Amino acid sequence: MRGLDLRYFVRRIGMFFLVIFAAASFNFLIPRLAPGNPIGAINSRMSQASAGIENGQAMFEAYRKRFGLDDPIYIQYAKYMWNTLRFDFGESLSAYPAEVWEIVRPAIGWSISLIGVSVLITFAMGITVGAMLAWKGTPKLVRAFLPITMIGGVLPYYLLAMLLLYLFAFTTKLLPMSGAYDSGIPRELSGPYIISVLRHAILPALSIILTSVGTWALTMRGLIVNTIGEDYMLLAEAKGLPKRRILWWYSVRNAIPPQLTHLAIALGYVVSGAILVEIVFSYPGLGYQLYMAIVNSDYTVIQGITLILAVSVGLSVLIIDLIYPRLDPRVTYVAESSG
Amino acid sequence: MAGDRSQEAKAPVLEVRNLRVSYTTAAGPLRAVNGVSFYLWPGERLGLVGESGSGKTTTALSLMRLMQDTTVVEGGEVLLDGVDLLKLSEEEMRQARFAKISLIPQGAMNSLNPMMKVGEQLRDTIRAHQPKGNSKATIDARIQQVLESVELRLNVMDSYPHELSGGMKQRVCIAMSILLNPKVIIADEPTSALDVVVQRQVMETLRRVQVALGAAVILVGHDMGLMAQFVDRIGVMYGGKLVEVGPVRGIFKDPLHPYTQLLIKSLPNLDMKDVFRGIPGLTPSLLTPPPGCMFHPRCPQVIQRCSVDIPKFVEIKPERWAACHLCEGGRQ
Ligand SMILES: Nc1ncnc2c1ncn2[C@@H]1O[C@H](COP(=O)(O)OP(=O)(O)O)[C@@H](O)[C@H]1O
Ligand SMILES: [Mg+2]
Repeated sequence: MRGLDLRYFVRRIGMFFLVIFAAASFNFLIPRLAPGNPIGAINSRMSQASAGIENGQAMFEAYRKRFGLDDPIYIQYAKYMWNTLRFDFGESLSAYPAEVWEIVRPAIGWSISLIGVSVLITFAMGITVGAMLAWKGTPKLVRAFLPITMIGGVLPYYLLAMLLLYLFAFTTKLLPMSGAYDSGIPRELSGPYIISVLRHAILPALSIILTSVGTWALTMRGLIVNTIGEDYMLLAEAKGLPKRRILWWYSVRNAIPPQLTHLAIALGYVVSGAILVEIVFSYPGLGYQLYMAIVNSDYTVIQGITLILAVSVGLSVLIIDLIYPRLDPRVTYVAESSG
Repeated sequence: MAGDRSQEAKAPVLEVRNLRVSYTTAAGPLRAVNGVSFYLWPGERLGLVGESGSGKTTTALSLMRLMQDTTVVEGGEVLLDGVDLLKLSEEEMRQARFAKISLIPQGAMNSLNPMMKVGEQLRDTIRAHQPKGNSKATIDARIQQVLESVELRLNVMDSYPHELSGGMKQRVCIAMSILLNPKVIIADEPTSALDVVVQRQVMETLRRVQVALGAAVILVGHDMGLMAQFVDRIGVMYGGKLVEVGPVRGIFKDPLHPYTQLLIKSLPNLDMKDVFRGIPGLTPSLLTPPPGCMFHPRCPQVIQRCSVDIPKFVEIKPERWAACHLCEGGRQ
């Protein structure tokens, strides 16, 4: 690929795995370092639970063995790393014997589709609204409506979420109150199922889009206004290009790359960024599962989700990094020749 | 050569009459171009010189109606083949740009879109002026022609601007300016950002393609020495006005306006290589211009009348125009 040599590519991917490795290690260490040692907490919960039961002590011992808590710490660490590599985060403590991965995997899907898509829509809308705000040729009528997109930005998004919920689900019953799909419909790729999924996604997506599109638009407008004084804009006009061509291919095109870094970060926080929206709409994404896990002191699930969070931030930054040279031709990643 | 007597029978390709342009500023209107009149023969090369801030760029851009939000054209006419460009509709003006009158811009280093391949930037110039039906092959054939004429290899089409040297970018701009066979090319300090060697090569190229095309050129610059080698006639600007216009030879041999005289004296010559004598005094404020002649506060030959009457820009003798009370009185 242009602007990207193999050595840089390999090095950058290696870097990604190093970051994930470090994140996984912290993920292992922190619960063991924290005061009120969670392992102790698990122990005591188990001992309490076993108190009234026959052979309670034996069962407790069996549990300790089962979770490997008797092993020396480095053995535990090695086992943890090996399991993590295989997406095996162990069993959920609150929903034992359900595997953490079984709880987390569907949540990843819901989060990526709901929030990932919302962020991309927001990004595209932000660019368009920002461009129309900056452009002198925007029809007056359109211009008059643009500030509406800013209104959402002054509300915290969970407040807007509750407002939307009240207006469109609770009062008018136009859209469903909660969840990601109607439980009555079989979960397969069928028309009714897809429609149900979309209907459930509208309100949570709207609350994310409406609250952030204004910020994107304002940043975009600023970046576009900055391009107006550039020499290439004068030549573009001097060449006799139509105004639209100048706006999109000269002005907006130059204003987008600086926004991509923000997009990478926004996408990386897909997981945690919308916890409150997921809670308000009981949307079974990662944010909602994380919340439930915290409420239930389900440490293994929390660990699994935080690790996925680290991976998703790392991954989206990696992806944007690798495609950046495609989007800004001046940026080239070529590993400097050693020596 | 162009500018000869034989040319005079023809009509000028461009005629600017009493052009006045100002910028709206917080401190009031800044009169950047204040009653500029000149003509340009077909195929002729006219140089516009003057200190920085004398209104050269504003004049050049106004001819193509390239305005900022704060630019106000207060009056005048820009007749291209007899048609007043200032009266065209926006769309008509857009179509005239580069097809009839083109620009090699001042900031050539950054004048190409960094996000787009050079070839695409040449193509969109053509596409903006031709019917949609034209095939890419036809368009590219024309582009290859002009790239060859400015001595660029065809592979620059697949390059991004940052991959080219300053001289190459300038050549791309020259190629772009002749793409649609315009009658007039405006070159605003086309080589000011280049080193001396490249400067000469680029100027040579510009001259060659211009002669081949038969287009007239307005060359804006502040280097009278470079200008003298390239143009047929020179116009000297001061404080938003033309103070003198005439053939190069005549101006250097016998400058009429005291400002022109000082400009020529301040040129580094062979005897005193490193001694550069600037012109004493400050450039005039265009917000609160001095009464009378703009130059009188700095003029070594100032007379009483200069601070009262604004001198008229008149033809002192054949082909020699100047705005100065001294020449008016002395030589008429
Ligand atoms: N956008 C602008 N707003 C206000 N004043 C301007 C603007 N552009 C140029 N000027 C002023 O107009 C005068 C002429 O500028 P310019 O045409 O660029 O001169 P030159 O090209 O001879 O250096 C200068 O005094 C300059 O400060
Ligand atoms: Mg200038």
